[in-house]
Amino acid sequence: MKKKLNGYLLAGLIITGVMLLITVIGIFWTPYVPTAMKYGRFQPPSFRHLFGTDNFGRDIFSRVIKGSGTTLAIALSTVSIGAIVGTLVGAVTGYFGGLVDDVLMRLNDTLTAFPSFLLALLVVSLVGPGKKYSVVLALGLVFIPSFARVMRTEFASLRNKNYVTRARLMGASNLRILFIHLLPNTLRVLLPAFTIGFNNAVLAEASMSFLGIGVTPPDASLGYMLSEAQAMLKAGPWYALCTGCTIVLLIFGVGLIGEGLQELNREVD
Amino acid sequence: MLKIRDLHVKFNNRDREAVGGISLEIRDGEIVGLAGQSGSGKTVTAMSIAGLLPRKQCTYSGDILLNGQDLLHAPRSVLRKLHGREVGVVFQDPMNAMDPLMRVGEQVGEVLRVHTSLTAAQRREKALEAMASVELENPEKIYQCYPHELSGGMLQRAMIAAAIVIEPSLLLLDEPTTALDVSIQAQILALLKKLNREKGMSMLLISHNLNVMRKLCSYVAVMNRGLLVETGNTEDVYRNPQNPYTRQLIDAIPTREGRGKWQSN
Amino acid sequence: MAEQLILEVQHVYAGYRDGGIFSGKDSYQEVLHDIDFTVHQGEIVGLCGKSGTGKSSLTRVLLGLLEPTQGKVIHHAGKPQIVFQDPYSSLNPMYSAEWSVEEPLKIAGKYDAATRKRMVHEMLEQVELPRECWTARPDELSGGQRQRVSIAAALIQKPRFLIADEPVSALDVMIQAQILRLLLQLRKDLDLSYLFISHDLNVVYQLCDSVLIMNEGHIVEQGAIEEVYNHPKEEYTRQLLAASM
Repeated sequence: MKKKLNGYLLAGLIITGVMLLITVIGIFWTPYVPTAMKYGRFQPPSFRHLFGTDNFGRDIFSRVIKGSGTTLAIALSTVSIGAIVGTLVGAVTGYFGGLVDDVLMRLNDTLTAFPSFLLALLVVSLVGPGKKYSVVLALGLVFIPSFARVMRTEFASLRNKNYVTRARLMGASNLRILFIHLLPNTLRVLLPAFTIGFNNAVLAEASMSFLGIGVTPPDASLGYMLSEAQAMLKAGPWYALCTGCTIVLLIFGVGLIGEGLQELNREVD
Repeated sequence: MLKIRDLHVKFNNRDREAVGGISLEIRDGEIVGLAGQSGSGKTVTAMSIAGLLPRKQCTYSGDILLNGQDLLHAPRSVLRKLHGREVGVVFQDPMNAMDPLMRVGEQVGEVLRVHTSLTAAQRREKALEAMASVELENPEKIYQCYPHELSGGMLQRAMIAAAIVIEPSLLLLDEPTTALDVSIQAQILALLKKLNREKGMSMLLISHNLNVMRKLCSYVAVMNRGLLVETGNTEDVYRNPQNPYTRQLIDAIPTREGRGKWQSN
Repeated sequence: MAEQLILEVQHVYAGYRDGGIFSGKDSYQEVLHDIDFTVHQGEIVGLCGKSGTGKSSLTRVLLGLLEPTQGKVIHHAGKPQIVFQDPYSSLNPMYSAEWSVEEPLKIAGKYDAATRKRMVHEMLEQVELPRECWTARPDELSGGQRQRVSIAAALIQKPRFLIADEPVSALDVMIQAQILRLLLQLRKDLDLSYLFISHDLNVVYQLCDSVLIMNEGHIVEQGAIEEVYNHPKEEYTRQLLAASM
């Protein structure tokens, strides 16, 4: 399997790579202290303050960098929960079938039947709002069913391949078949699904923070900042604009990677 | 009728020419065989005739003339008309060649919808006729079936019906029996022979098995690594191959005589 | 010819049960009826019949993937290995030829890494896979090369009995002849017995010592190859033979 970079993948990797780099640098260093309120209120974007300042006189660019970090962390951990648990459920149901499949997939259907937002709200209120991990937990749970469904189909179609039959004849354990023989073959589906899930997670976190049930100060995610920016749309429109564009760029980059990966699969077929 | 002159095809991502300059003629009502291993260029030759070459990904030269009309260099719009009308194609795997969501009968008549101005009822009539001529029993019933409801042999008959419904001047057969059981293979070959006799249709049969060609083709051309290595009457070539490659190809055919030819000492 | 028994199949009946706990139906469809034959050491037994006649079900029974409802399957020389028709799906697309051949040894867990490596290389040489293909993945190999890897993987644990399920049907005649030669050579070198399943009676004639003719789940005729081909007793056998002349 010769993997060649295509245009989508290359563009996506560059955009996402640059943003990741800035975010990682942001952990240690930002142009200004993101929480310091001393740079003058409502400064429009300039060379000193790339994205301007907000109503408290904080540097928005520095805040966006920090916020991206929070958003990325939340999105990554949510989608990882969804992908890992979903893959496990999908593997078990798709590979074994039978009773386990019936029970787990009906449970899965039940989860899907809830409006996802409602489900997330429920979890947040159970765990207690305001904790960072409550959002992660809530969204992670919401993401499990879709991953489980996709992976189940994939495992079920792979289990009838002759190489799996042969592995079974050799006496390979189910665990070995699932993880050594099958899992690598599911990556072509899992990776694009992961990128789509990641984008949904960014958006979901943004909406939840926008509604005030996501992260709480002093932490700031991009979604939280967007909800702040809404209050000062007139006085400082650049706040909403810059934050919004960052979200769009982040999603665009990862979306391109997903598209690129699917293009690779098509080429291989 | 079909004239191939010095055909060269080279894919951009390969070093070697897929077809390195071959010339071949098919006369009216003749069945010609094109034999060779996979990778010998026989399928690429067929693709060139059928207009299925990915033109942007390869360079090509030479001439393919069907009743005087250029099949290789003509613009796409002209080709599209020519191909449906004048060249019918039957592929190896009937399962993949059919649309699973469309009734078999409609697929048989599909080419008429594109290339003629017949009404739906007339097309249906023609399709049923074609299905009867390929000896599908109860064509009315099969017309209504979906591909998955038919066996491999029946599907291949339907594919042949779809290829001949418009009565093209050339029928291109790409390994038409390879995916089928031996007993079905014999039936399909007999059917093709009958169609050739009754309708005078010219055919080009592409296969890796010279034994299949013996039953069908009067004339055979053997390809290896993009070149024609031997041509002649099928029986002559089969009984007395001149080229060492042809000899190997014939030796490889499993037959009911000389048991143990593959036993090493 | 051979004396020692490798496989005994005694009056085997088998079929499939349909339905699950939620579907409510429960029906049994028998696909194998009174299958009875033996395979001796060093023998190549051909199994012929049209598709859908129970050849694959019989394979599943012999491999232990399908329980007979009646009768017995006795393996006198250990478990058989199998080579499938479709070399595309019998090798894991994510791994190299070497990996696929080594995997059975890893699962068996009897050898250290260096021994495994040596055994794998010996095997790959025995099936005459060119050295530059050893690290290649399946999609970089040709159909014939893939089938060589499948054969190597099946033989790496030194089985005495190999089931070959249409191993050459997807290959063109030239490659087919090479693989058949290889199978004959391997039988001699490794003292193997084969059950060779094929719908091509000419291939079976060239390769096998005896033959089983199967129709609709029954073995309708069996015997030494020359006997069956020259003096078929059943009408069905006659038809099959005529069709493949």
